[in-house]
Amino acid sequence: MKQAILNALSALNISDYSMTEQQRSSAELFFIKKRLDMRRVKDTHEYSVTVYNVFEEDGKKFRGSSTVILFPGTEAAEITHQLEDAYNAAGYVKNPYYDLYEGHKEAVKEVPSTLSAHTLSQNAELMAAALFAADTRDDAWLNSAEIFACRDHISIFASTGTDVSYVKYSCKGEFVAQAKEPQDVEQYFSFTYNDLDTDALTDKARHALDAVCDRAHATDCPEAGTYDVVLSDRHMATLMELYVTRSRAAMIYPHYSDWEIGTAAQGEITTGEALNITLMPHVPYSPEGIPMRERTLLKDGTVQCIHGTTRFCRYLGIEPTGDYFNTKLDNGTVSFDELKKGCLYPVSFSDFQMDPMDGHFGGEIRLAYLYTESGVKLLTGGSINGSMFDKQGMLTFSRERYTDADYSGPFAVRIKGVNVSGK
Amino acid sequence: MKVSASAFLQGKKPALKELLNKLLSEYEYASILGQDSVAKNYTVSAGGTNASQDNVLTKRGFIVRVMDKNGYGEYSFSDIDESAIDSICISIRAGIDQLNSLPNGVSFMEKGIPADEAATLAAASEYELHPSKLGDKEIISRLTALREKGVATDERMVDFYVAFSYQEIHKLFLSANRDLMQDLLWSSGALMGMARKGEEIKTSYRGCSMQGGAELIYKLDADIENVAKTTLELLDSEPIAPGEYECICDPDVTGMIVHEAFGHGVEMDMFVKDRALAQSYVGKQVASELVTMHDGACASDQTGSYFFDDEGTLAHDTIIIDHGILKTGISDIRSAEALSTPPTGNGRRESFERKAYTRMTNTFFEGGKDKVEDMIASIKYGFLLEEPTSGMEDPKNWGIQCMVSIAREIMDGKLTGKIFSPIVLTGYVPDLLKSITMMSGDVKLAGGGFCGKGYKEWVKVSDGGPYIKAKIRLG
Repeated sequence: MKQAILNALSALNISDYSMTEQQRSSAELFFIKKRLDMRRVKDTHEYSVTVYNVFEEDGKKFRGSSTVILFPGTEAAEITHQLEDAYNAAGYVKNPYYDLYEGHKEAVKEVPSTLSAHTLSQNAELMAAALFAADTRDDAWLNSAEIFACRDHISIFASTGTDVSYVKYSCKGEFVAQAKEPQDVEQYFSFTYNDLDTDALTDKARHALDAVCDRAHATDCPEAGTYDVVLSDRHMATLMELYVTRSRAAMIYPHYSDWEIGTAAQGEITTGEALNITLMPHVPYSPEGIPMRERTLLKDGTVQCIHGTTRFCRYLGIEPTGDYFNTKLDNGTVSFDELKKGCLYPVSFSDFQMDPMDGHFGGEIRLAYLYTESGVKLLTGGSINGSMFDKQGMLTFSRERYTDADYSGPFAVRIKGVNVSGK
Repeated sequence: MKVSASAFLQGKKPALKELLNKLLSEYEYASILGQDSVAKNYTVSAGGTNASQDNVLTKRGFIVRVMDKNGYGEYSFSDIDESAIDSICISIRAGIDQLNSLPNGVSFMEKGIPADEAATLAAASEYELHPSKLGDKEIISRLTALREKGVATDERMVDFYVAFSYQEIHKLFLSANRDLMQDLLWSSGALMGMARKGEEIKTSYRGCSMQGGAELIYKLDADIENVAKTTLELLDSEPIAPGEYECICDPDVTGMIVHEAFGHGVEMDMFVKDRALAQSYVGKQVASELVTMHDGACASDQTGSYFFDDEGTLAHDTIIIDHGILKTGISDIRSAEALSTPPTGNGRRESFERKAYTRMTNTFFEGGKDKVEDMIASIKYGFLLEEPTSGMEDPKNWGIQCMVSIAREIMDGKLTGKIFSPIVLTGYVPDLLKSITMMSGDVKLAGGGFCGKGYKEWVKVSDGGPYIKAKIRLG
């Protein structure tokens, strides 16, 4: 198939192109309560081909591009037709000219993972066993679960010399924990591991069952007002999307973000900690074949790196880095026990969101702990709604840390003066 | 004109039938779904122009479903020809057999073979102008002109994003007694104004969609001025004082409430899992008598329309709520089997690579008899809610989480011109639905976005309804 695509590109005299070959395999298990509802196996193959068309109009030079997706079994004539259509479409895409990324040939990289020692079926079954190992309580249980053991083999090949590939294993999924007394409630949890992290999954499931028991006892809605709010674990990762997104070249070039190297991203830091964020690679190579490595994003709250695809980085006159999504934070000065004193601590939302365009974060509370001098109160309902642009100078982080597939850093953050809707 | 059939699927059909016959000789049940879909996105913004196929929606491949002694198994693969049939059978057998080791205390689900009643169908949706006929040059040129018009409306406009996309879908379903083929074309468009307020980028958005083709592009122009005006109004918006208010929801917000707050809760795979409160409310009042709610792939011509679902069940128009009484949910084949109810044609997959779940299609409230101006005039102090941005279901507890961009203040029956943003809608679904006291006559559906099952499994749907008046907790 790859040769058929290369033959068509050659026959069409398309000199600038890049191609990503994706071979994805998975073994999947779907459970309802303690019954296996469905077994699935996937073995798919596809090619994403981007063709570039350089042209001039009114003295201006443009580089247009267009991408087509091709599949095994596609006839040679259809491959040619699709690539020709894409090349013609690229001729109407009037994006300013830029130089393509020039890579080179490298040996296949296998992302180190303990998952690679087993078959996908074994990985799925081992993770399923780890998940259900926690399901031993009478007052809470796993309502349903889905487990996906995956192997991705990605190859990136470009006319400018890039010829790289990698193999990555992962195990991801989701589960719902349920408790019936005194109220019938549930909570949703997801997970992604790049290793055979069976202990971590068992721990996660145990904590989930603890949390859903607490939710079953939560009946009161918070009083509407302003609270110091603590957010933790997955919600920390979501908050950091603000900084990862605002530092993207694709956001800066069209002036959606005015950040540049040296920008004080947190504004005035008043009562809080300055952020130290490192961008972490999620794959060995970006979709353009750019090697991904750790990069300092914020040092003491100041922007150190703008990241993005070749087109937007070239427009900004900076080195193409690829787009990053994962973060590591060095912060954390206060123990979690100290951090949460006097705070509202929502641990579960219907859907916690961070909008990097306007800086607002919020969500409906499924379970929160209100820490007061007289004790801890379980709450449910209401919502939080705040702006990171208003609050980011007043962030305090826990010393305790949390690690997930896309985040490593303080377990929790305290945010001062957040609006809470309630009764 | 009707959408043409897929030469790829027609070419593969003889091999697929041979594969099916081999599987039927070995398994109690077997079916095959073939997919050949092309989706193309066109966008024009300050970031540049894009005209590329969508790598999530453009898919070509097959999924086999079989039932062995331990229940259902599925195998997704990319290609087939006559010479590969035996090796595919081996892969199916080996792949599914390897997944038979269960955790301690876990057993296999009880089996139930689908009815598989005989049906033959070859159907195609209609369009006026195929996007490939209009051509890339003309589509990009029109979108570029729309963007320039949007940006020119005011110097405070940072950008004006314009998008058009289409998805041409071909599917083939084969089982012992079914031979179904369908060819569909869905299109959607979007406008988004962006203006700066300090570090914040305020955005206003309008989407439109249809079962059809590039004729949709000609409808985008009408909303440019409104989107630009609302974007600039948002620059002066304020956070709202949390509380319960009388609200008017525009059809887009009504659609989000219909879909997120109630629709997900009547997906009957949630009944099977004991995850939906709605299960215990069938036959009971859950909404105002004014409310009648539909879901169905043949209930409207929109981006949730099709002739059969991804499990080979023919499309339905299901009345979920009839004058306030919850009548039934919607189901895929597996949940219908488990609940001993007829399947409603709602078994949908993100693609041939994914599992089928119970999913919504076109979901909406019927219209009422009120006029929008009378609805606004009836409010002493409250808000007109517009521009839904996101929502999340809570079928277990019927909690609401919906976010909207705009709450327009109403005082003494008149809009004051003041805007609050962003807004989180919360509360208890039946409380909200029972508080509906007025509904406008016109029903509008939109399907510009995607619906997830939790945080994944994205499928195109549409939702909507009339303007509704209800009491809602805002924050």
